[in-house]
Amino acid sequence: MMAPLLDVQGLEISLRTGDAARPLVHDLSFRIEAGEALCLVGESGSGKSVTALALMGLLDPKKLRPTAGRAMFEGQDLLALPPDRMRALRGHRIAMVFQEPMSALNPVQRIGDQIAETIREHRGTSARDAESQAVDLLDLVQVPDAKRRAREYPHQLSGGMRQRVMIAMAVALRPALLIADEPTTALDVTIQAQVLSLIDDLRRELGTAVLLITHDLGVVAEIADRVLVLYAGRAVEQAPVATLFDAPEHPYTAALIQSIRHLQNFAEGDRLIEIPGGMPAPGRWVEGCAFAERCAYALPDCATRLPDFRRRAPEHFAACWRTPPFGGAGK
Amino acid sequence: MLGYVAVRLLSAIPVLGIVAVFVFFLLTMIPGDPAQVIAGDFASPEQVQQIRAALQLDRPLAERFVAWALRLASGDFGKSLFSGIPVAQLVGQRIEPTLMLATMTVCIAVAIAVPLGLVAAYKPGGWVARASMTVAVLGFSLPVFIVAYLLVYPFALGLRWFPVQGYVPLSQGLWACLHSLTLPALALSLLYIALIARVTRAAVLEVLREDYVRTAHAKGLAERRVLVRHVLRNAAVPVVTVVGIGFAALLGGVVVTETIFSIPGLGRLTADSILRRDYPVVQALILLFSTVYVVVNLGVDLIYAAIDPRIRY
Repeated sequence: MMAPLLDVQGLEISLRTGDAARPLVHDLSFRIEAGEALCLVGESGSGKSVTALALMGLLDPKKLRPTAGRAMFEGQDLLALPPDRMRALRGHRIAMVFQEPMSALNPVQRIGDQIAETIREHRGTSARDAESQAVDLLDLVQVPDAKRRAREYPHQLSGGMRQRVMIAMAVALRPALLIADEPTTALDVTIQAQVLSLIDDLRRELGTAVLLITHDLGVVAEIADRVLVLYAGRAVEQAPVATLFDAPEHPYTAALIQSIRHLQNFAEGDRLIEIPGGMPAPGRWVEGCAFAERCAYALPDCATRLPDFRRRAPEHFAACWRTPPFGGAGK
Repeated sequence: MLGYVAVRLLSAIPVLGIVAVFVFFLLTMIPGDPAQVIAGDFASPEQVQQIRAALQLDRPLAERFVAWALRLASGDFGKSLFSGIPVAQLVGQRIEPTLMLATMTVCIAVAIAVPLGLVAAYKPGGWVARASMTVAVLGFSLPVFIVAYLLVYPFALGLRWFPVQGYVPLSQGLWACLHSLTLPALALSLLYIALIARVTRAAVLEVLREDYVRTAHAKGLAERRVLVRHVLRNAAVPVVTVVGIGFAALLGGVVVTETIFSIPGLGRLTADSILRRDYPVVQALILLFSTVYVVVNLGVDLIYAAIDPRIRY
């Protein structure tokens, strides 16, 4: 069998506080095959963005750094690459789209130049060639009137258009892996679907694998091949998308799915279903299962004994002492 | 854009008018009599009275103001009470040395301070950061005359690389002129290096936190390119502001430096004219300085628009 495009094993990311290092992400392992779309799902603070930044080598080393594990990408460990080798990969083999299109583009540089810059940096292309490739890329991401738009500045574009520009910039050199960190969260609902389907189209067209980070299960259903659910810095469940929605093996996943199903069939007078309580703060030490205090199915042991991330079916993993069915949500 | 410039320049006229009126009356309020100064310590009261009549200083204030304002409106600044030379000519001769000194000082300061501030922000705690903050403290606390003598001693008296004093006019060659101004410009620039380095550092620190800087890194750009193309340009607006204010302040005359290095500039002319109660010259100088501020401010605003496409007039 061919090696996966990205193989993350036992990733731990820690926050430096004085002398101590507090882990925010514990023992995280996952793989992405070439051309595949993996969704990383979790609430804010579950460690999903930090994981993405670690893979890009963009963590601020004064605050956060990977303290264990490896991330093999095209035969190299991303966590151990020297900075200049990592820089050569960034924007070239691995690219990233960020959450905030409003602030992620340089306000004083024409968007065409911002796209062309990536091409020139990695390929040494002439300014004129890079410029015309930038226009082609704007066409590719369906920015109308690309030639004129390339001469404009970010403030002259809408949020959706800016996110398209970010995507054009990311796919400029046909990267093998595109990391998208909540790419639609800051956009209007109507634009969200357009941007998602753009990412999905590009994935098929260019064969780019996608690691999509989101807290929105709606987005997951739209685009994912497989899903990895994070809770308080740990993987709690991983499965192909259909399996996950049909037969979740972890009460947290089950509760998330139930709450969106409930929203879809929402009737007047209904109360919103929520998962009671909140996630432990990032870095807070929890001995057992971090979800135990909010879990309707928790056993007395759950709070003290950490369940393994265990295979439940050929492609299905979960970290829970219990087994389904998990009918009702929360306590 | 041109319309905006025209409006800005026209709106400066009433400002300058108010300055002119204010200056006229302010000068009449300070004690001291130009006639007395011109006549010298041993003149008889009759002689002083004669001079006063000749200079029309014996006329009522209102009459003198109207006469002065009418002449000013026709572009005539009058003659120096002291030397009788037309004010325009007197001031005109003094502009070049001061302009050259100010320009050179600002160029030195920017060339040193901007990289210093950039590196200090980028590598906080590094040796550049610590060194530049030391320079900043020195720059703020050492008076210019001390810095001047600290430079003159080794570089002019010791190594004899530069003249101790004096100004070589531009007409004798740009290089000779710059050479004669090197020490005074260096002495003056220390304060501006301190100021500009601190402002640059603060602005860069702010920009480094921006999302688009992370985007630039995510594109795999070289560190230097991220700093120059993405960080520095976005940090430029506050830097341009202090450079502009500094330039205007330098043109407003640097009395001490010009005196130490015997540079025949506007600063010394201002100080001398005030001591002599040479009203027409002082009035003309203050109007000139006000005009400089208006023009420099306009220039700074236009540079903003060139740096940041979101700023449009």
